[in-house]
Amino acid sequence: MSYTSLKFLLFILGTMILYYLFPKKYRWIILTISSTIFYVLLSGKLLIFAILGTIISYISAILISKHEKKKKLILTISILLTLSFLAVLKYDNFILSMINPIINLIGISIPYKKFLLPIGISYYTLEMIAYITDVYRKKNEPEKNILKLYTFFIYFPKIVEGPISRYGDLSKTLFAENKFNYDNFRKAFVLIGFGFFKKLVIADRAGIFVDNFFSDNHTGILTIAAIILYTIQIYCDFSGCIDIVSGVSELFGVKLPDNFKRPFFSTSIQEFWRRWHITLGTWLKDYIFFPVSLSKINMKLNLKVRKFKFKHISQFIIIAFPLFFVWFINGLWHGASIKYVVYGLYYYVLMMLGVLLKPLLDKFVKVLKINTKVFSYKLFQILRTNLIVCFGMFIFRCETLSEVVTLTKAIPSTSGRIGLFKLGLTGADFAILLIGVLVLSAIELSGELKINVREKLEEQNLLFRWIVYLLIIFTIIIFGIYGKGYDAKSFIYGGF
Amino acid sequence: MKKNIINIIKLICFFSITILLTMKLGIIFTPKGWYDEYQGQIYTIKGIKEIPKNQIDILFLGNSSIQKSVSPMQIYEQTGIASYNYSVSSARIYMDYYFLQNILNYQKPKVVFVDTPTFFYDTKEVEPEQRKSFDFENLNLIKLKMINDNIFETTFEEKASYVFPIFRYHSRWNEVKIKDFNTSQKFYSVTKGFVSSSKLKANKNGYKYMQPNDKKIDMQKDVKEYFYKFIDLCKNNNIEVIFLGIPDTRAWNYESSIKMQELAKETNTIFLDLNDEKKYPINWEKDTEDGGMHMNALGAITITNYIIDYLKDNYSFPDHRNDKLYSKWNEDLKIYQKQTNKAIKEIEKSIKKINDGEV
Amino acid sequence: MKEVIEVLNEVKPGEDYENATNLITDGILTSFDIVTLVSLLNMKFNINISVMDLVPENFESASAILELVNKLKEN
Repeated sequence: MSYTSLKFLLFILGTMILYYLFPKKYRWIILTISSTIFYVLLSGKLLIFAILGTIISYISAILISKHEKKKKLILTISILLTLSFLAVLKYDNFILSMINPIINLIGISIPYKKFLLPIGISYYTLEMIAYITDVYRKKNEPEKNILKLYTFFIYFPKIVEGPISRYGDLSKTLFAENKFNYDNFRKAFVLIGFGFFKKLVIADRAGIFVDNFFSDNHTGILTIAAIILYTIQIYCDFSGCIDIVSGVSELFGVKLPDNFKRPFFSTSIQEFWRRWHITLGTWLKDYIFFPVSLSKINMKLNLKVRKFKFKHISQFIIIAFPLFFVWFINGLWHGASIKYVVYGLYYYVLMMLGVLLKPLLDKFVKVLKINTKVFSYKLFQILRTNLIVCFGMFIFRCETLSEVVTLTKAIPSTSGRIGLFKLGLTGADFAILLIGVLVLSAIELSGELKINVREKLEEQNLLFRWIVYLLIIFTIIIFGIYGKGYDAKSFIYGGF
Repeated sequence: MKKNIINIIKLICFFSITILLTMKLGIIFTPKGWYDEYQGQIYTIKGIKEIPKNQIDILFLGNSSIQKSVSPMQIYEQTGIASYNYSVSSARIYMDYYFLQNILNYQKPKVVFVDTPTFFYDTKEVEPEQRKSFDFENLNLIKLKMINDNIFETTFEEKASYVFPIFRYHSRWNEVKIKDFNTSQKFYSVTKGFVSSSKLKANKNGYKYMQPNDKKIDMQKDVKEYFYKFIDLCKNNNIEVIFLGIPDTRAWNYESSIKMQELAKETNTIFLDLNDEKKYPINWEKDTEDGGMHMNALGAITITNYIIDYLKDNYSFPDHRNDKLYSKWNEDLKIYQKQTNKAIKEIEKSIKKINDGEV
Repeated sequence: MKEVIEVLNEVKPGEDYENATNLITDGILTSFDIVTLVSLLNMKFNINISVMDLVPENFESASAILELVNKLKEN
């Protein structure tokens, strides 16, 4: 049951009706039940891992709050326990591929095994670690009702693709006595529609081209089109999905955290990562970057460097060490292979270069008297950032690193060149894509100018609003990519 | 509270409009398939509802072999008997079972002729063929039952797309024409479902496909189920069933004929086997459009004549030719005759070309 | 107060730290700056700012930072 299927829409409808028919105080129990059903439909028995994780989080949080002296030990053990599921189920082969060559030297090897990955384990594991750590840091009280904790971890709108939520934030609305609010319902509806538009009309259409390009081993100048379309695809797919689930969650009055803030308007990659997959970024900041930065080793290291009196070098060093962990984990979190690690380190290297070369760049700007406050300079920065991001997405999409190299080298080549319209998209499809991206850009630009399109729409008169709603619905129904697709040939008289 | 009720009414209004529009768009987007001015599957299916109630005495049900070989207007021309050829390509007995239920809402045929090759197919109809047969039916309880029948192996999404065809055809957005928006267009079938062909391709192997042998053949399990269901349905509605074997070198053979005779005996029905060369010869050089699978306009005349003879010998259906209620039929007849003559001329041209050695 | 602003200027010069009250929310101080800032504050005031203290509220303005420093000094 995918978030864009008809079944899911009916599932929401059913859940919603039950939710608002239930007494206010116990409404969240409907979400417990429907989330469990949703999980079992997707992952069956693997729900057991989420339950085990919930129990570990529940018990360790309570222990931490009771045993002040041993809390560090409890924290460490519980995090290791929580991570062990993920390590075995997702990263076993990756870890083994590192270990086996070494233990082979003494004549042992551990056989590789492929496990079925429980849905959402990458997301809820992070949420569990955050929950336990927040109790440790006294940001949260430990939750006394284990069912609430369980509901939070497997809450169905966010279980498949996030956003990674914090217990302290989400529990405020998740377990509140939410009343049915028609205005909220309308807003949620528009958000869901917008998400469907991004996912079905733009992302899945661009995906046809991208899939054909990469699966048929094409090369040449079209690589650039494929990279751009893939970047559009992954953004519209991911952020569209987040819009859908945030809207769905709003139907129940539950507010999920923001995960995207118009990232393609960023002027630097640091900024990009503050606006792209925000909940992963803040998670890494709070639970990796800050603790490692403030660790004794890093602080000592910093003090030593400071003696050399090179101010910006010391600033570089103090970040370099913790940031390495951030990007290493970021890469690895996306997938269990070297390619993803390289994807993470690609940003690490670029960011570190940025910090290292900043004084040089500042000087350069000064000498050439470049005005950095004007629009054209900002545009240049945005384009530069987008270029870097596109190449990052390219690494992300390729099967292997060698594919990245081969394809990049072959961009100027003309051998085996084929037309733009030969990869599954017609001219009309490109027109739809273009219009879709323009509409999306217009809405995001309004956001940059601090105009909230969603709220502006709600201020309009009924007739106008309804026309817009219907337009959204039928744009998705007609121009969305879903179903079998119509192949005129198969409909021509078969002769039976 | 009052505000809530108003909001709920608004919601209901909005979603009613949405659902109505979705259905309407479905009709617009549904491919109308191949059809010319008078004939095509859309005429066959929609046309039967355009005929005044209970005018039809005989119904032909089946797939393309009957569709192209039995002409109700020829029967009417010669006997005044009113019949309708409700045949769609790839029809199977489980489809006919639902089609007949649907037709019974409009017409009360006394005799139903049913196509036979479908009983022995070992493959199911393909999805586009299902669509072509279902999409032009009005949405009613019988159609909903049909969509829900597991025999069609449809997923939940596919079932929904029969109610809202736009889900199936939305990707045709750049093929939709202005005339598709005219959703009130009537499709009256002048030929009463018959589709005539002016093509010619001789069958060089003649009646070889009917060579006696001792192979055995049987119906698939699910076909069997609907075979008996269909017969029961007819019996309950006092309709006589006649199985009609149309000459067909591809889908028919000797062992099928033998099995069909057994089935007719078992169910106390009649099997009229036009594959019998001695009793009902046809000219394989001229009568087929595609080398022995389907009849062309000439073949249809031959086949229909055999049926007329059979009806004359065994029944006494009323002659409607001077009946005022059937005056439209007499108008249709004129169009039909013109059309048939045109088709025959074209076939004769082709024959001449072959005889002259041009091909 | 003066010392805190001095440190802030060392981390990222050219901002109006006297009056700014949304250093984190407005994105003036990024997480990179925070880490440098913390290391400098630790050194200068001989305190130990821990991860638990790294909440936005403690760094939104110069006075908030001063408050944090004073609180940690007492301990």
